[in-house]
Amino acid sequence: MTFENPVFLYLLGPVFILCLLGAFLKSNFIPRIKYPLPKGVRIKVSPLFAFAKWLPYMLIVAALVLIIIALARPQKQGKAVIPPAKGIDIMMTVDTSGSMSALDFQPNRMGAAKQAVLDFIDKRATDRIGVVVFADSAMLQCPLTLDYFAIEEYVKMIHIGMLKSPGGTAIGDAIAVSTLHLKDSPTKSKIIVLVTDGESNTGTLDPLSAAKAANGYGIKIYTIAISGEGLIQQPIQTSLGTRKITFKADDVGEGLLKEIATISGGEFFRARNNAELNEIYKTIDQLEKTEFEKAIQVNFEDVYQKYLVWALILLVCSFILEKFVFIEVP
Amino acid sequence: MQTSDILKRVRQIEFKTGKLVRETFAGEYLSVFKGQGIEFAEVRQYIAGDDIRSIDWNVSARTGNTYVKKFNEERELSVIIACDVSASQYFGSKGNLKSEAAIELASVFAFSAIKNNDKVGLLLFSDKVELYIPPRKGKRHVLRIIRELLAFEPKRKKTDISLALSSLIRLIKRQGILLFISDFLDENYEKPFKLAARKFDLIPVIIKDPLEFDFPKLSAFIQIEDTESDNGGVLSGSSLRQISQARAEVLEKALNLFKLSGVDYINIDTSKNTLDPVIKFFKQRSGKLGI
Repeated sequence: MTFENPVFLYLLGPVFILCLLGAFLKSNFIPRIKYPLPKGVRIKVSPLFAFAKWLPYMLIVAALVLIIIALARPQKQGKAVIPPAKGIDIMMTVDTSGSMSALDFQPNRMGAAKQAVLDFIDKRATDRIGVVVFADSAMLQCPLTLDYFAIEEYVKMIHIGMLKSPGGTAIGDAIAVSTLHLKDSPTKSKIIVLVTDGESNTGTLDPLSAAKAANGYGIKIYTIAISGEGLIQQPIQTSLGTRKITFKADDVGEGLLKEIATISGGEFFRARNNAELNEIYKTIDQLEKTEFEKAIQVNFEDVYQKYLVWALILLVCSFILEKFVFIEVP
Repeated sequence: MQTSDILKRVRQIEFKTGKLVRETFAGEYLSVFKGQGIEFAEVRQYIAGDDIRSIDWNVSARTGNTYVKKFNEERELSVIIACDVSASQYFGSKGNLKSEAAIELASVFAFSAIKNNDKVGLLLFSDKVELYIPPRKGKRHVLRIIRELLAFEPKRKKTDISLALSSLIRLIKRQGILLFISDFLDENYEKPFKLAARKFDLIPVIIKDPLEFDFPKLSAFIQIEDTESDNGGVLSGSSLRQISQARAEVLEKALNLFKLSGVDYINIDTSKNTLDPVIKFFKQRSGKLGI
């Protein structure tokens, strides 16, 4: 809690002195009815009175302190709101080719990638995020937006084969589509996080050219290759039901992905399991940290009413006690 | 009080008490307070209607005419008004202050006395003798006494009845009437009281206020302080009972002493008419004397 006019708090000093003075006067100069007492009669002050005498006074003092605090205008800091333009733009580009159903990740490559993307989105606060999915062609799944709830919904909808043919991996097209939707953004920092599990084998655009184009627009591309090691199982739908096939892990075209990263000024990562994948997203999150401090705008909420209300309650209590409960004569 | 106020008040008292003194008390006073005796004044010729018992046979025989003896009552009485001016007298809940009632009463007696050619003296006391005016005759003197009663500012607060009485016994050589006005809120004055009762025609006047005996029960904290000392505090139910009980005891004690000393007293309540008890007193006394 902060005070808008802390100068008024200095009033507590005089109030304190006044209180002491009041207490001194109250205990030393008591108005009394002169009354002829027979000799030998002694009147004692009852303990109830000793207490009752000070209670209304103390309530008034407390009310006064609260009023002074209210006068100093106490404020509560509201939530920091950062203007959207200050964040960066991130395009999450996710491979939805058939091979993403391989079981070397939990629950499979697709699931792991989706979960990692969701976790990543969770950590960002002020960046516009979009989603592009691709297989042998690329499609904008969700445009750049700050509506994280919507983004998450769109990410959850991603599944293998959502594009017409799940066969190929058009990395060039994916980069191009992502670049297309990033390039007009006024934001200084723009990145693409590309997740794939295979070599670029189709598409109308050469991945390297696309990467160069992206770089031309000031877009960094982080590439993540997801693929386990050794033998990998993959369910395949046939007319007779689901059948698992086993194949040997390949190098997922690491060379190409590395080159894309290098050209655009990003980085290449290799994920062999869920843990590594999560780690990679964390690293990217760290690398693309948005500086908050300068962009903080704090909303202040005045809370003096609460103090005034309590002061009023105390005053009323004091009045009631003094005038109706502990009546003192004269 | 300013001098003009005091004079105004003196006139008021004079006017108020004047009628009473002229009418109600005129005869009563004279008969109630008898002189020391009778003294021979002269002989004069018998007039039809004279008491045959007053015929002076010696003179009648010598002169051959009927002569009667004429006597004058010796009325060189002095009335001493002793008035309590301690702080407890400056109290009153309804009507008069105790001191005001005292002044009114003293004035009536002073005017009555002067009307009958008696001397009037004044003694004001607290726990010392504050003022003493020796008995003298004359209207001017009475007015001075009333002025002193009204304007006097006592130096002390407390009451010492014993000292006042013994001072009076010492000061006044001749017998006389002693009107002793006080609230009798004091102790240990029995012995000088009895002495004074023997020496003077002592008339104690008790002045009391109803609030002294019965404090209304309020559901409040009442701060009170003794008029004559620093004793004070907050009245609670128990201290209230204690006070009224103690006050009643003080009164009882005083009344017992009056009875024991065989004096007639006047009991004045500030909330009621001051002079009614005086009239009652005169009636009672004349009844006692068989007049």
